Amino acid sequence: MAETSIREALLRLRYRWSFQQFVAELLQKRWMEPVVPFTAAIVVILAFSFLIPNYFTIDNLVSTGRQFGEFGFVAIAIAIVIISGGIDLSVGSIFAMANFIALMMFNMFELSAPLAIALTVLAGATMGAVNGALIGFFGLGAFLTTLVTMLIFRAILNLLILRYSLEMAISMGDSRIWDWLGGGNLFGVPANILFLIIVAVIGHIFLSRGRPGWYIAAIGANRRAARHAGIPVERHLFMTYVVSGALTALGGVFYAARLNSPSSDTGVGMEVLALTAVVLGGVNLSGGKGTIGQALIGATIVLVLTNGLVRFGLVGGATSTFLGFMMLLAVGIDVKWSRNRHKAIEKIYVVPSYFKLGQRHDISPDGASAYALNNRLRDADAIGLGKLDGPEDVIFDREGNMYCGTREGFIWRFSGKNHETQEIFARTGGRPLGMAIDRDGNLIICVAGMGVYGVRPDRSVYKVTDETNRTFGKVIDDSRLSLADDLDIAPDGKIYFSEATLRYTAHTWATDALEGRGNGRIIMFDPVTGKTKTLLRDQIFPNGVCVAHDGKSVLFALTWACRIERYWIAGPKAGTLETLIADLPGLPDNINRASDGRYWLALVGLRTPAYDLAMEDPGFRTRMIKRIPNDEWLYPNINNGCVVKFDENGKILETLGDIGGKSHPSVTSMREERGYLYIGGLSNDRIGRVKLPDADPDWNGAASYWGKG
Amino acid sequence: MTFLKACLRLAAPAALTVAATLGISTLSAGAADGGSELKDLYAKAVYGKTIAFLPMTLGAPLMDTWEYVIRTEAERSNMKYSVKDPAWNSTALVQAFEGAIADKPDVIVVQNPNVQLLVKQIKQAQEAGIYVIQLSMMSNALSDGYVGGDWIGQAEATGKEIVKDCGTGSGKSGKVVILQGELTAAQNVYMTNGLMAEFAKDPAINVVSSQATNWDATKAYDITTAVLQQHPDVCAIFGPYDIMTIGGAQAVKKAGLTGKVIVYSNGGGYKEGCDAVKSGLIDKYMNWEAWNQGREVVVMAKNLLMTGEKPGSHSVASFSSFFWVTKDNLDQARCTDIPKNN
Repeated sequence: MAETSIREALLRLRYRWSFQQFVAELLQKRWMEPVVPFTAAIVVILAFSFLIPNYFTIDNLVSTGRQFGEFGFVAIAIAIVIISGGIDLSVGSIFAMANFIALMMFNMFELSAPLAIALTVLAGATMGAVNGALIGFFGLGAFLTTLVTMLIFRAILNLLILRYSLEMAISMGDSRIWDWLGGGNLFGVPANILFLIIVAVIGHIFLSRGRPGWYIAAIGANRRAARHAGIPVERHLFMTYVVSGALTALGGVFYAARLNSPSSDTGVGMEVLALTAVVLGGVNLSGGKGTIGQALIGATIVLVLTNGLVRFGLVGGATSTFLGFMMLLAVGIDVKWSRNRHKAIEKIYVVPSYFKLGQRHDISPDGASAYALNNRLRDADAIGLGKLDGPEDVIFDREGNMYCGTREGFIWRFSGKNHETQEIFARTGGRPLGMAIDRDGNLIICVAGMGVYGVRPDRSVYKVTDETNRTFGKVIDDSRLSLADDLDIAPDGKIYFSEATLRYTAHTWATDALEGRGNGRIIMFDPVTGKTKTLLRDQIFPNGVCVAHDGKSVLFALTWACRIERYWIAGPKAGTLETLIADLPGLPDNINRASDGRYWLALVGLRTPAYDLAMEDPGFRTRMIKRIPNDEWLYPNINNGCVVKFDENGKILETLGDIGGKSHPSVTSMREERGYLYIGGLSNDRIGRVKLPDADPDWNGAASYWGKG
Repeated sequence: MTFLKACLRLAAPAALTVAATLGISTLSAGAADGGSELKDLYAKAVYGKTIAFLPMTLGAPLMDTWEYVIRTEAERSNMKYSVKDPAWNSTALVQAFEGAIADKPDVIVVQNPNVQLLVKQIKQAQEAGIYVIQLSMMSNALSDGYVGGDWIGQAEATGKEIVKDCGTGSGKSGKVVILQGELTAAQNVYMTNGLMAEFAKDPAINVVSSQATNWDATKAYDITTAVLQQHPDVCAIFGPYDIMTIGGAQAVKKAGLTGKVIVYSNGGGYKEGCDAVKSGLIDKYMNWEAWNQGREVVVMAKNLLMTGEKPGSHSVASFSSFFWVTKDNLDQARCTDIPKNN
């Protein structure tokens, strides 16, 4: 006996904190994506600074920086196009054209530097517009179109060079602005880097905060969906190519100012380098995802690599081979990673732990236990049948109007003597779960995915709270409310609510059961201060919050742990937690007041021996999760539940069931109202009503909280 | 040998006499030994100094010849040597050049791919105390030295030869094809200019095609094939770089016009160029001896180091001599080949 308890203790300890969980949560972070390329960039820079003497000198950094400036513009240009779901292979040719045009304007026609630059950027935008018009408005494929324009622009350039090269070879403009752009700096920062920073900052704001940026990402992620959402797809696609052309041309201007060379091999192969850079940086090749920062990180890697390999004295062919290999690697990783990332996370995201439940009670219908099942719910009157989809909770206001939330995010109201007036009272936009009525008659609702919201009697919806204090050192940002589940309101107006789990959503909440870990919490919102505070952490799927009849404690259920807890909010024991009922025969959900000073408790499903055993074997569950598809996983029974009644001391008094689950298979909530008990179900299609023979026929929940008023 | 020894034997007393006569007594005893003093000066200026070579590419006969000669000559002269391969990419060449400035060698030898590139970088290098010698391609920036062809002179000679072969009185069509290299490269710019000036003197000469090949033999082949279909009576084809021109010559051969179309080119007299003459691909080959150019580069570098002038203060040049190689004088063509495993 002692031996098993030591083993148990060790098992508990082993599964208490999981490195795997840490990794899985880390991988889910958005900022994790650029971390890998960023580290790679640092490694590459450090490697070359060790391998190449004089690498870390100011002169060398400045001259490398100048090259980076030009390339950075092109990387940003191509990144914007790729984020929009396209590709721009013509950047190399546009770059070369811009270089030539800038030199021609400045050296040959002797225009002033600003005018020459403006005309060049305009020319770049025009070339981009050709791409944009063909791809955006005529709907041609981006790859082939830009491949063709790449050749066309290059051919035009060759004709221009053939015609003007002799004149250009001997002419030379003179301008201090021009010289500054090509070789000057400000506080040691090369001029083109300065411009690059400005463009990058504007570009970043435009992409990540501006409407066009969001539109572009939406188009890249799913063009059809973007169109259906009303985004002017053609116009935005057109604009991405115009911007790409203009930015590339700007890069070309700096190249022209730095090298003054109209050579025809300018920009040859630049599209491949820029593509490599952008993909290495983590911009998704299939569109929709990526940032300016990622493009620039990738550009740094590629530039440092090419520059380093040239300086390293590698034979020319080897440099391009190496870069090609890098490109292949980056694309491979991009495809594999973006396609399998969620799978990889899924594989390691669920981290089962050890959890042991006590003895199961006898629930057989002919047994003597208070849990003995019966069919009292089977013939319940069905309200809203065919109209309601998943009314998780049900509640009544003082006037006896019934409210319930549905999967679509609606709040229905049933009024009239027999609930014959049925209407959609309000729309929340999320998944409404637990509900309560406050002193002023407002409906306070836990909305999964959103937080806690209120609906005033005039139907206007308002936010109560959607965030709480963040836990220091936790990878998952737990300041957001992701799955607020049930709530109740104390006499002083404080709203106590549960968040069932931090790690899963309204769609995947059942998977949380496989962990058997305390991923949820109890939170309190104080309407006086407007502050939200987490009271209890690491609760195993807390649920069914109910303020006790005397208003001094809050009862809540721990679903997977099959326990009812009592948290004292007033009196000598305030702030302490105690277990009221342990080892329930089923998985508890909502708890609500009964008219006789006792409590109703919904059991969403009944325990099974197989699942209880599985909870004691985390290894088994881990293997199950890794090896078989998730629709074949062993889940707890959430298909066959019942309603039980318990008193202030946690003693079970009676059970209302539906053997075989004909009308009410899974019960998530129940509410007593004027002599009847109303039954809700997360996946049911109705609200059930059964007559309670011994109940107070005038009792109303709202009145029990706030007085008859 | 005996004459030299006699001279040396004579030198010391002679110097003493001169010194005594002029009343100069400050000369050290060692000054009398001119040979060893010169050796000391040379060793001090040259030994351990670094030459950085930046050709447009490696892996082509011309650049490999230079590379071999400069490397071996530098090593034999107790100098350090480094080379970078930009693989025809002028941006990579600029990177390599800027890298070379950071490495601070004593002499940079660069084959500048076009007349305007590197203007700033050459100035920077000189300011950093590095001599810059431009090889084969001069540019708009004057550097400390230039070794390479006199492209205008060579173009004149070539132009005269073509006019003689194809112009008035030759009975030929007078149609000429120019296969240009990289349009902004010095060799190309000056040769095309020089040729056109010569052609302008004879109205019978008609340039039917003048397109850029970017030094690529495949492109030369494609262009020539297309031009020969349109003008099967072309009299002369000229390409300013032999390896590229061989591509055009292959097209002539494929069209069955060998002998009818005269192929002109020039090059460094390495095996590949001479073989093209031998096999009848190139009819008239102007040899400017790349092997010698390699030696001249090292000699010029040593001279610059020994004079010790501030980089950027003077410009010296050595324009290479050239001579025509045809099938008839191939045995005297001074063709060179670098050792296979070097």
